[in-house]
Amino acid sequence: MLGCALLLQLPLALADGAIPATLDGNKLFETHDPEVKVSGNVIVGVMVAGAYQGLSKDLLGIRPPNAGDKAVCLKVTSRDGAYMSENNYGVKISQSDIVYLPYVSNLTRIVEEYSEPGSIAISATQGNCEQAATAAYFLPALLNEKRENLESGDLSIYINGFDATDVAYRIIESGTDLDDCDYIKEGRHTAYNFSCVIPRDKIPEADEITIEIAREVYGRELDPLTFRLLDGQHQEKP
Amino acid sequence: MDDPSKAPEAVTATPAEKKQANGLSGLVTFLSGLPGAVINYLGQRTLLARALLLAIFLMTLFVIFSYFKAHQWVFSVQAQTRVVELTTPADRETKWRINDAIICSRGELELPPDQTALLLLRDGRCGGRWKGYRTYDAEQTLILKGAFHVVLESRQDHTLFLALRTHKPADAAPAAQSADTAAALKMKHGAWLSFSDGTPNLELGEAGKLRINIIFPKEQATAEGARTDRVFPFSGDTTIGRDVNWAGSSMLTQGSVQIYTSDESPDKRRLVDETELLLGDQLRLDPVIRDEKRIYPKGFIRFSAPQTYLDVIAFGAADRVVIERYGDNGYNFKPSRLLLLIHDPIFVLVATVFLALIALVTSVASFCGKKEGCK
Repeated sequence: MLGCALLLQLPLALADGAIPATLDGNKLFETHDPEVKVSGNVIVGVMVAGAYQGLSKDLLGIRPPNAGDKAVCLKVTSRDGAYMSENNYGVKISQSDIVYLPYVSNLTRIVEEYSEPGSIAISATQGNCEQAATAAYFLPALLNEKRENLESGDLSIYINGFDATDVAYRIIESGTDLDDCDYIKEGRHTAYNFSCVIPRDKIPEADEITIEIAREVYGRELDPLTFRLLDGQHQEKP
Repeated sequence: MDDPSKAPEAVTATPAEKKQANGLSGLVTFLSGLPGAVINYLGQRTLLARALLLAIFLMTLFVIFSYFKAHQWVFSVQAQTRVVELTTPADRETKWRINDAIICSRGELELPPDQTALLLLRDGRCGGRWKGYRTYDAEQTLILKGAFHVVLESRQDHTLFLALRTHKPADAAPAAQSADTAAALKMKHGAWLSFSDGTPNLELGEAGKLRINIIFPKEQATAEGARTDRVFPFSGDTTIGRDVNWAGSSMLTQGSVQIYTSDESPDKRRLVDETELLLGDQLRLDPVIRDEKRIYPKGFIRFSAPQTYLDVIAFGAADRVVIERYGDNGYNFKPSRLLLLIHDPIFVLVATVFLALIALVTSVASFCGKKEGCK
């Protein structure tokens, strides 16, 4: 009975809420290897601060600003570098709508271990993972239980600063000065060691914004990195 | 000697008792009857056998007690590294001599009008977003009161850098944090430059934010061919070395960790365990919490130009020495209970006496056996 009810209710809920993306392949590609590897990515995560909760609950979503066929590369990396996943999704949307990214982990227990804020980073870039980096990021966020709305919150960017002593960010459209990111001191930080938190009220209401990441090594400036953040307008559904 | 037919009743169990002993109630019955059975058994032995059995019993108790008692031990670390990270304690003051250094501040320092100890630099050595000052005070001192995040790094060009930042506390044990905070409240938190020429102390940072880089230029280190040693005594959370990464030239080069006993014993320091550190290892020395108070690792860092690495010596009463090795999951370098037991001088003394006693009793028993007596 309950199974039938769920089978009947699930498509209805999805029809009213998020549009499910299709995962390439039968199951998630994810690994957990305590023997961590060195990574060269500087921007490791761009997400709404609470999005990590969506991994173990299978409640992860994005809101692409434009209609059309979307290819999404979803990468999840733990701060200690032990857990990582990299998967391609495809979805077709007719307008800016919420897209549900199925994340049924085979390593749920391990993912749940990274339940502290800042212990796991998520990035959802435009295009396939195998393509060259597009520097265009969707904004993963936690879906509500009915998968109808994305939860709002501050924006978290996780940076692998390597030898950098200071990392800062700037939203180009705002025209403001650089704001400092925080060094993550606690625990092992093989995959990323800086966290930039952008308060929600500082993010312009636009489908696309450009964020610059500046890095310094004892005052010596490294080449800045710039990426576009693609996020549809945050209209709460009734 | 002993008559086997006179074996105590508790030793020979009936089938009913065996069945009962399978259950928990049977075990309780057996244990409650054990002291009586032991006394009964001892009562039927010779004096020597009784003494021997009693000694074995007491020794067994002593071994169990020694095995499970809370051993105290200390560690010592000596390492050569290019980078060390510290978090200074919230309730203590840290002082370092920083004469002949360049002080880079995010934002201009509010200097007294007539001071001559600091000179504003315009050569851009500190970077575009920083203001640089050269200190000419031979006894220029940096005073840190409270928790700050400090990185000391020796770069390939023989320049020593010190990055000083505001510390954002992570989740810590609330009890310990409250004890630390209470102590810290008695002390004004901040960072100051102290001068020897009468210039008042200069507070660094603004609006609770502190971003200071201190550069010890290489020309100072090698001027007139003299070796200029700089020593930074410290206490606090310490990380020696850095995660292996693609850009990583700053890492731990070599070193070793020794663990010593620290019990109330005649020789308080006995080497219990030792391990070598390899290139790229990262060593974390965390504080321990005792009586709601944090006990921090302490030590000193020495930089001797023209060497390109930092010598680090650290000690601690901690059992939290974490070694993180590339390709490994990281492990707490902590001696096993057995290792601590066999390095416990009191245990070794008692065990030696016990073995001597056994040898003596065996000899006497053997002698008595030949003489057919000694009841």
